[in-house]
Amino acid sequence: MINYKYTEENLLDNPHNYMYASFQGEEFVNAYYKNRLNYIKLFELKANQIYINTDLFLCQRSIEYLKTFLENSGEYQKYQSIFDDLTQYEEIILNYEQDFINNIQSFDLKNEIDTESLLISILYSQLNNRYDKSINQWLDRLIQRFEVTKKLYEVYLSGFRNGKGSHSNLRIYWMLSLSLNLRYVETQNIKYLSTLMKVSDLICSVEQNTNFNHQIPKQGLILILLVEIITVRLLTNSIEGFKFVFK
Amino acid sequence: MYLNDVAMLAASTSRSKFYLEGLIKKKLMPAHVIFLINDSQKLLPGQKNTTLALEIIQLLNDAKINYSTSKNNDINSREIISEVSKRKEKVFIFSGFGGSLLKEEILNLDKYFLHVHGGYLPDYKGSTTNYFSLLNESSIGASSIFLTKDIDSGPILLRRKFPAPKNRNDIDYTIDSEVRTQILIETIEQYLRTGMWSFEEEHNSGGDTYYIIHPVLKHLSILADEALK
Repeated sequence: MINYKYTEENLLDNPHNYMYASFQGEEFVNAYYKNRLNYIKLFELKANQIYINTDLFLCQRSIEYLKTFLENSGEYQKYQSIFDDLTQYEEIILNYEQDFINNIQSFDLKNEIDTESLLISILYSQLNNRYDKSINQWLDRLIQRFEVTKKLYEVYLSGFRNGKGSHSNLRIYWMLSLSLNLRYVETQNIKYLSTLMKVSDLICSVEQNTNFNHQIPKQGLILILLVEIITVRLLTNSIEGFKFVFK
Repeated sequence: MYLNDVAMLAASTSRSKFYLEGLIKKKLMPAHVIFLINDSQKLLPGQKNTTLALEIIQLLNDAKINYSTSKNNDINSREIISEVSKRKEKVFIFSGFGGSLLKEEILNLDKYFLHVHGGYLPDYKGSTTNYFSLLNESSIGASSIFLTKDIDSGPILLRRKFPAPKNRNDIDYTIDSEVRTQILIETIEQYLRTGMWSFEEEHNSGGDTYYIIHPVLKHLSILADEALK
């Protein structure tokens, strides 16, 4: 039996470069799939914690945004009760002060960039269907930083190359994953899917190894993994004769 | 035939071996080869096994190609820069260890580095792009360029798309090297035919930049018979 090794070690401490991964056949894809389902189950069992309002807002709006995609895949109903749990935070979400979200145009390469603010701004624009060139540019820069260093720092110095502060804030990895999910569903560009799968590996690997007490709503964690495995399933559906285990 | 104005910067990798075998077969021997050998026990990216160095030296000896060796994995080291700068050849076929990029100092020498990228440019820049193009359009590609400081953005000498290979199990070490070798040979043949390095697309701008494909997607691209999009 093949194990899906990319979540076994804490990828924040031991990053994986994914180079020259050997071919292990269909069994490997199924091992990946089972691995992700296990993490979804793990997140389902997590008790609700004290969440950050921004995360609740982004989470609820993302579920709304992706609802049709999830319904078409036949998976929405299965998780609907968990997603509906968010209604207990309805007041917080409705009263969320969106005015505090920076306009994407206000970020400038010449300045120091707060990664969380940038990601919130990107997500907010995506969720409001406000697509402009700068979203792609900033998302591509974040992808580049993550792919090259396998880390995301809380702050990037002018020029957006050198990071500063902690690189262990899982919320910003979650936000990047959420943004990539939205972008992939929108564009079907596989480069976004490839990076988001690595970000998901990292998030799961940290969960596996540290039992981190994060503040990310469990619905948000389930959402990113669910959308990812649905997209992978849709891709595998096109492969003739492929015995994909989807249980 | 020995190419008077073309040398090669090679490493003990599968791709360098493919290049040399292809060039020798076509009797297009580089005037000189600077050969970087990884003498540690740990394999470097692009190395399938530890016997490659000996196999390549055998090839060079049999074809009577002039070469120098360096037990140095760093293409940007002072030793390699010095050696390249001393050579009279203007153009170097570049085939280093996987993932090694030429830095400004070596790029600023008065030389041209002929690199064959595994992907159709400018659409597919970056790494493992043939897996992405298999998923997107069921084809692979190769493009010869002169290296510049921006990755995969130098002027394109020649580029070609190839149909998806039937057996995709060994793209990394075999198929990718085969198509690159084919483009390398055609690029040199074109140079010999016309007497100049001409460009199919001088302005290699636009396109997407890709990073190493996630292993699950790599598997899907190998398992799929057609484009999955």
